[in-house]
Amino acid sequence: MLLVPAWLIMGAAAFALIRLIPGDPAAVLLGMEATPQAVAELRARLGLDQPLPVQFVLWLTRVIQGELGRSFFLGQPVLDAILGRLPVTLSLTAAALACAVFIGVPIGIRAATRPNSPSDLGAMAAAVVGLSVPDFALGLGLIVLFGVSLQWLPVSGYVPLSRSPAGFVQHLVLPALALGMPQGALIARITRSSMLEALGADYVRTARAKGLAEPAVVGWHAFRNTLIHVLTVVGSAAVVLLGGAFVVETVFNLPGLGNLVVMAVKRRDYPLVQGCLLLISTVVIVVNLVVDVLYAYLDPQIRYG
Amino acid sequence: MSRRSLIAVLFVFAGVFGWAPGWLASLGPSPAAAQGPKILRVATDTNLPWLDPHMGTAFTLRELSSHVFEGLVTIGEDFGVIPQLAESWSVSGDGTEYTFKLRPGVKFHNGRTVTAEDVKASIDRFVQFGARRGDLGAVQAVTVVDPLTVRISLKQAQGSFLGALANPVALLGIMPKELVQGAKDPLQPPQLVGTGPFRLAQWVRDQQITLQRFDDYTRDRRIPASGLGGDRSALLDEVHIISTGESATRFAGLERGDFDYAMALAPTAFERLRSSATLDAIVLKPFTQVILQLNANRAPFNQVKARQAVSRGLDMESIMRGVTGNQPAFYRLQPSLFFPEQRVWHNTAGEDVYNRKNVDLARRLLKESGYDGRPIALVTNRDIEWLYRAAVPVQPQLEAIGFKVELVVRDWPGQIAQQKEGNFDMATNGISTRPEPTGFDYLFRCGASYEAYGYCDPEMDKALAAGVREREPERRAQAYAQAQKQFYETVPLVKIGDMFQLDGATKALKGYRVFFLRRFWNVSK
Repeated sequence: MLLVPAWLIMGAAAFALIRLIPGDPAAVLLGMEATPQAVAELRARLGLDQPLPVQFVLWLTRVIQGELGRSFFLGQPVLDAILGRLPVTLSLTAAALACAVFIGVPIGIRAATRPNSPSDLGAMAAAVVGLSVPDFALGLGLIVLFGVSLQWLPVSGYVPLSRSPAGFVQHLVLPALALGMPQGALIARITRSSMLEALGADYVRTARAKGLAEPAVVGWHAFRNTLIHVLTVVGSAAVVLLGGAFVVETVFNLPGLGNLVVMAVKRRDYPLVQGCLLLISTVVIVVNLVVDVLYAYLDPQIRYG
Repeated sequence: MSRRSLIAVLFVFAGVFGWAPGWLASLGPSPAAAQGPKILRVATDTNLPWLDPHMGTAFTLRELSSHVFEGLVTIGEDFGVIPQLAESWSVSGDGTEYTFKLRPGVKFHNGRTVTAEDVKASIDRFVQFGARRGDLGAVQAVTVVDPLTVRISLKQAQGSFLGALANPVALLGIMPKELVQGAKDPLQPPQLVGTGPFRLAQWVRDQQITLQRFDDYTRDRRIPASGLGGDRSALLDEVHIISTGESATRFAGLERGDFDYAMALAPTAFERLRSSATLDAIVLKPFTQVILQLNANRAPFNQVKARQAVSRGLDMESIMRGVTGNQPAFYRLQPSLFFPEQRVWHNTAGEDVYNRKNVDLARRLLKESGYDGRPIALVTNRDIEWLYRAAVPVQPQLEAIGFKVELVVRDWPGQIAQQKEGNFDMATNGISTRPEPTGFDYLFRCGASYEAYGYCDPEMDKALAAGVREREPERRAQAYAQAQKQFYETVPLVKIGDMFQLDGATKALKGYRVFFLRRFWNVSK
């Protein structure tokens, strides 16, 4: 039930933030050369001549009725614009999350089982580097290496899964790596430290004493108990990835939600910015909710009253 | 387990870095090997809110419109007016009546033949709602004389009338009557029907515009291809104009062969393109004049001497080097408000003043202007990087002659807003190529537009009025030479230099010729 005030606050923030930046959507649409009359006419047509509180109440009323308005620049309903871009961002985020988990977890486990070995130190050094490199720089590096030099993969654009599964994967590999690798590094570090803690625990000593094979000890006993920490990171990684998608989508020219929001801000497309912010904050709220519920499932000690 | 986890790690890495991409690449369609229709893939940096040629002045829209639509007349290679859909025309003795004969049998993309009714409906709509309706304010009535003859009556003689009809900045394209009549808002595809060599096949907003060859295109064989007209034809089956926001991504895509043509690359890509075995560097020339706008509505630039001080205090060469990353291929220093390529309009008035930096003179002028030392706001933005690079060297140069300059960096909408509010003293900006002088005289006319920012000079107004009134092209050109002389005396804004744009193309592109707009007709691959 706390979701409702959270949404309201987000809505008000979304409405206010974009209007705090100087810039007039009508002037952007018509360009520097437009006459003041033409701009005023367009402002009236877009409803921007109303006082701000009136605009806010009108917008909020429509949002409650499930109507996000119409994009100034694209001329289509905000919801359609978002739904059209959502599959791209979801595919990218999912692929990046998969990259992050499949890179981070095995490396973390491996490092924890051989603490302070050269492979551990190497992996953790790589993780620090991976965490520190900004995703756009990583993206451009991947473009130069795998796109331009080796010519293995396309560097821009998106192919829907329905049109060509191979094309879909091809176009998603580099952006997913650029987006997922820094998070993979974070996951590796968290996995390593919580695995180390678990491997030193009494139940692991007991398991070893029982004569269990090492893989069973690490995989079944220790790893299961670190899952909750890993899951926290994966949950927050999902949110961070959604944010990072904004940059990576621009670098790789993917027509996703991030690209849409960046463009909408640059064009002062108020309804679209508001709609996107509202939707993204909803997603963040839902992801947090899902993680909380999963906590309870994974750790019997947690019970929500 | 440790061995197994190691294998897992190795597997993931091998999969991600080594084996998978090669396998995937072999599965997907290889761009180089694509057979079938001849498709030109063009990466662009801009997106459009609508594609209606009448309703916008955006640079990309000018280019797109020239492929899809045609006017009665258009612009030739030397920027003079040439016929397009008009077979011929005659002008009444007093210059108030233009009678156009249409070329017979010209087909719209929907298969219908163009008639005088369509011409009337298109002009009527443009005069009422078009983005450049002010240029055609003199039109009193458009009359259909017979199916292939249309007469346009003007309220008074207007020498710039044909140029205004031909101007591709908001192109007065002829569209079917049933689609344009009374259309107040921008038309959307599939209503965007023209007579050009390409038809608009598909538009996915912010992603791709697909042009398709119009098989029934009515070629104009009277004169060889020239400027935006003459004998044009689509040699390509399709042109895909693909939105790609990042210039580095456009360049990488071009190098990889994902694109055949990439617009607006960073000047730093020039050497790499020139030394490439498969790619060509294309310098889009002319492109734009880099200017410094001055707000004459308030002190200090309401004083002509303060404006002159700016003009004489700047070293244009050093600024243009900054703008272009020190690449002489991308700038030119010449005084004219027209490019030398615009042979009809170019002149050299003001060459004794332009780019003649004189610190002592500038200091004296500034002192005489009564400047009180208040910091002046120089507004620029980083969305259009060259505008920022133009502003950076201006600041120290003006401080050296006694101005206090505060650099205000916004994004592009922020800069537009700040200028429209009049809350600035200077701003870096550009004037893209204007084929018709009336297309940018609002920058200098008394009270014509907010964009003159308070500048008003009776002599300038007289010269500009003559440019509109005179009907002989030579006398019009003289009027604009006079206006340019006045420009250097009264400094409504400061011209810094001409800037060109770098594009890249595959060497497989045949027949491409540089003009101020990109042209993909008469081009093959």
